[in-house]
This record gives sequence, C-alpha cells and structure tokens, in this order.
Amino acid sequence: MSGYRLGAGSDTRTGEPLSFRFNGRQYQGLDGDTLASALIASGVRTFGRSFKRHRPRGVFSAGVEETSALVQLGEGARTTPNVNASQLLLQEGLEARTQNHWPSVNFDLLRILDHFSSLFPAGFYNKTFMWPSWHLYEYFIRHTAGLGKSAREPDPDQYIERHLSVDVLVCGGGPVGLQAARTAAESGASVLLAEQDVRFGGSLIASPTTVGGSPSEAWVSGQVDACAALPTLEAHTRTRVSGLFDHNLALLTRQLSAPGAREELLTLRAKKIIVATGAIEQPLVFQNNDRPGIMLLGAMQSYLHRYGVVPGRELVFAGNSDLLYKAARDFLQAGVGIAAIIDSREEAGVSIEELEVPVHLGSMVVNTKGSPGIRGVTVTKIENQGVGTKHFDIACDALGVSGGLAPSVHLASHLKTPLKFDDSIAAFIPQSNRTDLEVVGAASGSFDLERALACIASGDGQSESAISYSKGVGARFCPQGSTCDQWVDLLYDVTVADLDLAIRENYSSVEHMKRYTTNGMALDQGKTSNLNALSHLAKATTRSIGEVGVTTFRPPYAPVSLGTLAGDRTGRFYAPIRQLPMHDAHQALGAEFDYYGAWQRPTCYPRRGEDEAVAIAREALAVRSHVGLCDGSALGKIEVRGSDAAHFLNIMYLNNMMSLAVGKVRYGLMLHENGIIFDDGVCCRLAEDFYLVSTTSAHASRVFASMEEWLQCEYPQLDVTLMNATESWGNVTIAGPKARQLLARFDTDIDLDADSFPFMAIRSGKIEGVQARMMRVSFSGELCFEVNVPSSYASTFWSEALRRGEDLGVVPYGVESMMVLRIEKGFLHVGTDTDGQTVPDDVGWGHIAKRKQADFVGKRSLLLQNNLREDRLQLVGIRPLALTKPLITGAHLTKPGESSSQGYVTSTCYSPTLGHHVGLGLLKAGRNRMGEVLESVDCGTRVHLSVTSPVFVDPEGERLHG
Amino acid sequence: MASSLAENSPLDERSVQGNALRICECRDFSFVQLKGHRIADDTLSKIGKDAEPLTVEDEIVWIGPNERLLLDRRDAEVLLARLHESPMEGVFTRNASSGLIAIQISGESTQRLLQGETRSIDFTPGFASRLRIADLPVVVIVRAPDQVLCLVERSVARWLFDWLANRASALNL
Repeated sequence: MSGYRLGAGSDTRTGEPLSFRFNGRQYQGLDGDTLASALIASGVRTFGRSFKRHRPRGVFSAGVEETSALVQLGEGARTTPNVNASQLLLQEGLEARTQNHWPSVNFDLLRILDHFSSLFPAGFYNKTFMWPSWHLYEYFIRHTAGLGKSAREPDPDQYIERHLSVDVLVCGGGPVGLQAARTAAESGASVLLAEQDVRFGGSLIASPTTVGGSPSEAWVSGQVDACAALPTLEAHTRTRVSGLFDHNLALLTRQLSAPGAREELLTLRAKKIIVATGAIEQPLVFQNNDRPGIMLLGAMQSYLHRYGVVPGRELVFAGNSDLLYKAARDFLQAGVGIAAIIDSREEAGVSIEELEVPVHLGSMVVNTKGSPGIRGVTVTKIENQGVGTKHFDIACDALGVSGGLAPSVHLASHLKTPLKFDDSIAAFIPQSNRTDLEVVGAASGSFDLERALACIASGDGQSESAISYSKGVGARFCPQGSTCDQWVDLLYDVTVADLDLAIRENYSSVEHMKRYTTNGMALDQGKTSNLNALSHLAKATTRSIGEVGVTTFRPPYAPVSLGTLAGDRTGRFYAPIRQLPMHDAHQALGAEFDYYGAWQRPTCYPRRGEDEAVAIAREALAVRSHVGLCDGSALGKIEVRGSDAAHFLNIMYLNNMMSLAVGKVRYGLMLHENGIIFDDGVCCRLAEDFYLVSTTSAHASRVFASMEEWLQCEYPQLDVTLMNATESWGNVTIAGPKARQLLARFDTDIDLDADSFPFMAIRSGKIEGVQARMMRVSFSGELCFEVNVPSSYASTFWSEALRRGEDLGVVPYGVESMMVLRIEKGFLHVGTDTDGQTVPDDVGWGHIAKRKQADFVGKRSLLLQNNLREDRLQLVGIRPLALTKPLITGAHLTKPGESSSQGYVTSTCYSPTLGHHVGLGLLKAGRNRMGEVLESVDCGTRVHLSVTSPVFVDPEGERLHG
Repeated sequence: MASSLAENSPLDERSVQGNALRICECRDFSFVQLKGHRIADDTLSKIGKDAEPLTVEDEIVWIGPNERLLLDRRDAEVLLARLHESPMEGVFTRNASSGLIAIQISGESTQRLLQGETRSIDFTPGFASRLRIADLPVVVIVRAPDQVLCLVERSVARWLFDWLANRASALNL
C-alpha cells in the first residue's frame, strides 16, 4: 500500500461511494473520482505492463498525456482497450482490467523479455529474427505485441454525428479559454467552448491559486456562470477537439452519458479558432524512470486537489523549475510532508527557506530503486555540467518529476502553424500569423496567467513571446547511468539507447528517428516524449533544437474510437440504398436482390425448387421464346433542352447527334477527355430542341454532373438546359417476340405497328390514361419496347402487364438474366467489358470516331499513338472448345502452353439459347485473331477456347427489328 | 382518359413519444421543376411572387439562380398548362411529382432531429434550400418552427425515412 485518500477533493467533495471492479477485485471510490484516483487511493500502484519489455507501470499523469495507465474497459461487445484510467470517470459497477501481461499483472512471465531487451532494439524487426525466416517468429511476436483487445462482437451502442458552424471555436476550457469564450460571446459572436475534462478551469482546478485577488475556485465559478448566461455561447465539458483541418474545419468528440449512446462526433466550421489548450508538463530522463510511483508533479497536485488523493507516504519532488516549490507548498498546506526536493538548477527562483523541506540544488536523480514500485532514489550533485561522483540515496514511495511545461502545440500544428523553439522555456511555441487562428495563454508559451488574461480582456489575445520562469529552466536529462534503462517514450518503450542507436545508424533526421524508433508514435502522440527526444538528438548531433526541428503533430489529438468516426453510418445506414419504384412488386414475386451501384435490383425471380442458375436460364429462354418484363427504372434519364441541345450532345457523344431526326433514337458512346469510354446509352430526339438521354444505371448522376460541368464551364454560351428526370419515370422493358402483342392489350394512343414505330424510335403518348414515353431499343436482342410511365404508376403498370400477359407466357426477368441475353448478343456493358484503358476502336466504334468531323469530348486523345496501336486489347467473343466447360470471368487469355497474358475474359455466361458457355473478352489485336485457339487461365484452371465474333445469337439482328 | 392504374402506396408513418416527433409522407403537393438560362422577373408572375434565395414564397421554392421548384395542391399538369399559356423564353418546365417524395417532420423535437445533421437549416418559416441530409440531396422547406418538409428523390425516400427514424431513436427524441 502506498497511495491513500487524504480527504475530499474538489471533484469528490460531495461524492457518494461507488463500487467497481479492477482485475476482478472489488474496490470502492467516490463519485467524481477517476479510475486512476480511486485506485491510487486504494493503494494500487501497478496499472499495466509496458508495450515491449513488459515492465510494470503505474499512473504517470492525470490527463490526456497518460502513457502508462491504459486499461481494458468493460466486457463483451462493449469492451474497449487502451482507455486512459486517469481520465475515465468512475461509475457504479465499472469493470476494468490491466493489459499486456500473462498470466497476471503482478506476475508476468513475459517480463523475461526485459532481460533480453538487447534483442529488441529500435528497428529490431528489420534486423533480428531474420534467420532462418521471419515467419518462424512472426506468430509469437505478433501474439505478444499490441495493447489490449478489441471486442469480437458488433458494438451495440449508438454514435451520433452532428454538423455545426460557429463564429468562434475555443479549444480548451481553462482560465484563458473561459475568458476568451466569454469575451468573444459578449461581442455578439456565436461561440462553442470545448473542454475535454469533466470540469472547466484547467490548471486552476489542479493547482488552485488566486486570480485577480480572488480564490481561483470562485473565479472559475464566476466565469462559468457568466458564460452560461450568454445566449450565443455553447460550452461543453467532456468534449475534445480531436483535429483541426483546412478552412477551419474542426472534429470534436463528445462523451455522452445517455444509456446506449456512447459518443458524439461534431464536425464544425468556425470563422475563427482560439487554441487555449494550455501546457503539458514534461518528464525527466534518468535510469529506471519508469517505475510505478513515479509521476508528473502536476499530476500529483491534481490528485491532491481534485480527488484528495496522495500517491505515497514518502514523497520526493525532482525537477528543473520553480514548479517544484509551488507543488511543495500545496502539499505542505494540505498537511502532507515531503522527504526532499531535488532541483537541477544552482539557484531557485523563489525563497525556499520557509518550506522546511530538504532542498538539493544543483542535483539530479540518477537512478531509482524498488520492485515493482519505487522505494527510493539515488541523487547526485551536478559538477561541471556533468553528474558528480558523490551519490546519496533518499527513501521514498512516490516521486514527482517535472521537466517544466511545454505548450500544447498539437492543435495549432494540425493547421500547419510554424513552431519555434524558445530557449527561455525550453519548448516549442506556435508562430501563428493567421487572423482566423489565435493561440493564447500557456499554449502560446505565456505561463503568466494574469498577464494572459489581461491580453485576452484587452483584445490582444496572443502574447508576443514566451514568458519564462524566473531563474530559467534546468536540465531534464541525467547524463549518467545505463541508457538502456532511461525511458524517453514510456508508452512505446523507447529509451535513450534506442535514440543513440538511430543516430549511430544515421537516422539523425528528426523524421527518420521518429519512424525508426517509433518515439512519439504511440497513443499519446509523444506529448511527453517528443521534446526530450528532440533535445537528446540535438545534443548528440551538436545542433540546436531549432535546427533539429520538430515532426508534424497530426490528428487525432487523442485516440478516437472507430465507432465515433463511423457515427450512424453502419449496417443498413452505411450508405443510401436506392430502391426501384416497383420494388414492392418484385419482393412480392420472390425476387432475389443484389446491389448494382447504389441500386437494389432483382437479379432473378426463382420459382420454388429453382436455384439462381436455373431461374436465370428459364427467364432468358422465356424472353427469347415468349415475352419478359424487366425493371429498367434505374437507367438514367436526362432531358436536354434548348435550341443548342443537338450541338451540345454532339460535343458530349462520339456519335453524330446533329443528324438525328425527331422521333428517332441513336446509340452513343461518351468518352473522358483522355478518350477512354466513360458511358454509353441512347439519345432520343423528342422535338427539335428536346432530347432525352438514357444513360447506364450506375453512371446516371455522374453523366448528369459531367454534362453540367461541360455546359457551365466550357460552353456557357450554348442555349441548353439540363434536367435529371431519372426518378420521375419508371421503366418497364417488355422484350420478346410477343412483346407487341402484350403491349397492344393496353389502352394507348401510340401506334405500335412496326412500320410506324420501328426499331430505334421513340414515341410519346398515353397508356391507360397516364403519360408514357416508349422506346424501341433492345439490350436483349429481341423485339423490345421500353415503356416509361410516371414512377408513381410504374408498379401497377408492371403488375397489370404480368396479369394481362399470363396467357402469352410472360415472365419477369432480372438483371442477371438480362446479362445473359446481352452477352449472347455481344452487347457491350461499360465497366464490365471495358476498363480504364478502353477506347472506342477497341470495341468496334473506331470507324465512327474517324468519320466524325465535328469536335467531341475525347476526340484529340484518340489520335495519340498509344490509342492507335494495332496490338491494343480488342473486344472479341470466346467459346470453350469443350462446350460444357464453364468460362471464368477475369481469367487471363494466353496462347496454349504459354504464360504471358494476351488479354482477359470480361463477361461469361451459360447460354440457354445455345446450350453451352459463351463469353466476351479483351484480347490483343483480337479482331485479327478470329478462330485462333487460346487458353483461359485462372488460379491453375485452364480452359481451351476459340476466338469468335462477339455476337452469338441472331447476328443479322432480325429479331430485334421485328 | 381516366387511368386504370393506381398510384404507389405511401410510406409508413412513424410517431415518436406521442406528438413530440412525427415523420410521415406528405401527399398534399405536386411538383413542377422550372429551370433555364435566366429566370426573368416576370416569368413566374402569373402564378405568384418569385422567391428570394433560400426561401419559399407563394409555394415557389428558390433552388438556385436558374432553378425553382413549384409546389401545387392540384395536379401538376394544371399548373404546367397555366405556365405555358404564354411562352417562356429560355426556361423549361417538367412535372417532377413522380420523382419526388415529401417527408414531413413535425412536432416539438423537429429541430433537434435535424439540427446538426446539416449546418444550413434556418428554422424560420419560409426558409427553403437544397442541402444534404444523410449524404443525400434534399430540398428542405421550413413551414413552421416545428414543421419541416423534406423533398427527396423517390428511390431513396424509404431509406431516408428509416434513417430519420433511426436518428430520432439515437438522439432519444
């Protein structure tokens, strides 16, 4: 037992007792405690094992910079690893356990790794464990690596995402942040104040003092009340600014207390951001500086004042600034004795006589003793800038260390604010020259609170320079002792020896050293390790820290759970799902559904006892022999209107749209500027100045956006208006030799006769009293009418067509059946039979491109030498020599017995019409290789096949002209 | 010619905690999209006063400088016929009724449901804007501080409807 509860702290003053379990054992804390404070009060010292060497570790801090007290919280689906115990608010029934040990935290057999630490230096995975094979060791190394375990079941909690915009975002609710938020809101600005702690007040609640002559607690209460009274100020505790991004976009995470709702993600835009994130105390570096019982001095003060908890019976403070004496006074006033103060400076900046505590000036801690927790320190007097030879021991069970304060520059750094090293405080300070970003208070290096508040109140928020401690700041590193046991990054077990190794191996750039040693790359983002590593690098390479520079701090400031980032975009709400206007009718028919882009569409309609393949074959045969209905509502329908509509479409499409007569339809290929096929579809001319463009389902919105972009940016002078009518019209495609017979059973004013309504024509009129647009186009190769009716009537039209065509053998057919029909006909499916390199000539449309005189998108790119090569991949048909052998989509095409790829298979199916498998493929110089025998190769499966024309059924097109 | 075809059935209705929040499909309106190079000051004079940006006036919703959405309680064809009584140069119209579904959100929790999902809603009656909700383009029309109409493409209406209900549940409304 070491730590104990002295009395009530400011956070636990009215706290009710709470029961909780840690490592299966029952403990009691107080309402208002954190898990760390409650456990320290209960005498617990070891909170886990270190990442690499499995050394015992205790609580190191009282805030976001915690490196050691990371625990596994909860059980089952709600378990969360690496939860910071020093920020985790205690709740009744809370369950937590330590991480990274076997079998227990107090008896960890993996501690043996500490004795073989020479095998695990920085970058060891690139150097050791290479013989005979890394894979021999990989399993064991991966098994022991990592901190904590993620849940195996889906997260049952809900996460919320909100978007906000404010005039001013204030990051940090400490004294300066409170004042800044109040000042901004009083000027009429809308303000959001975000504080990650459970209370406002920042350093004042951890270390009370006086502000403007008043006790700090009263001052904070007054500020909080004043802020609450301001209608334009929204102030949140337990809300962390996790990242700042371009154009003042901020990502905030807010902890929720409602049952089942864990966290909220706020994405916020602010006209101005004020960073008031304070400063983070830095540790000292000496041998065995990682034992449980060693913690930051400021953290000790925080536990004392906020929770009434003292981390040991015999306290020693070691540091390099006057922060030592402020802490000492706090403890002495609370009636807690201090065994000794060790100050690395020759002279203190304050009077030390009245403290009545042994003060060792010009001295440093060299080493610590004890196992697992600290039992004493070895101290030496500094002689001639080095460590002296005279050592003495001081018994203690808690050591508070302070290497001075370093401004919390992380958020400012997210916005690429330059950082400058300031010798007077031995830390980096941000140099913002933006008007929409202000860094204030300790975050800017101004540690004088009264002066910082005065700056805010006067409207001159940012101090011009850092304000140093009186008598400066002393050394943080003890240049004596084994560097293998001097920790710089406690969380990733990076020692001074690791830094030295990196420098020896010429990883002396700050960016290289960071990645080679992993210093500063752990969960804490180097909040207490970066500065010490940089100063060691500077000293070892005889450069100044300013010359060494600093690595970039990146979001998130502290770990954010994946659940929070996902928000409510999980399961069926992951992305919008588009449903066809006839969706319910398809469901009633027992359709199987799949996703095609964002659309949920029927693949086929299996009958009882049928599997998918049988159903597809039956449906395809029914279309060839009788008649079938397919829901084509997902096809894009873009109305292009205006006197220049023809001219505009002539630019957008490879095919000539100027000569298209009213009432006629023409197939068109749309290209990217680089000549690659982007989309295909048909253009229908409804009037001289009115076209309807039918695009592929997947590209409808992209084609519309592309057209708008060309029109608005390149051809604004054209009299063209674009309207996306995709959702307004339901499309029932009636295909098969009996299609006209079926359609004739409806009351319509459109003449369906083949002469007056031929193939590739469009007619407008009414069917059963509702508006209709009918097209004679075909993707199946059969006589086909695409009937478009208003979407709200589509479902009943579909059902009526099925009812009225029952005696004709009408069947519904799905997307996969449609694919069989189009492969049999060799019809191109953009995105399936084309790739990111396919140009029109590759699919047989080169002659159209050559003939067209007018300019069109992508035209010039088609003349590039690469697009004219004779050995380009060209669309061909393929047929297996053994007709019963299935072809595999994606398989490579090779010459028999060879391995070099000649192309690949793009589409395959079993053709029920032909009774064997057929396919399409892209083959080098394919059009000149008709009849050649090749092999398709896929994962060792080889199929002999012959190259054919892509059209397998009705090559003359007699059926579709019917 | 009267139609023998029936219209689709409406979306379900969801009520949360009595009348604190009610989400349902609103079938009161038909819609006409009007778009062109430039909408002249007198283009809409025969049906009402043209709306200012980000507002709805006389059931005319300002969508963009060259686009309006007209709401009408009668068949859209009647409104279209009226619009076409005199020629409109460079401006085109179409019946958009079939492609849009109006989801009405009402009750005292309306603002809490939508506040924060998108930055841009001003809950002053008469506000109207096309913006994104749940990554979807939605025309939002504020009819009263506790009543908002969300016009969304037909194909995603059911998904958005469920998404709103799910969000209401997540927010404990």
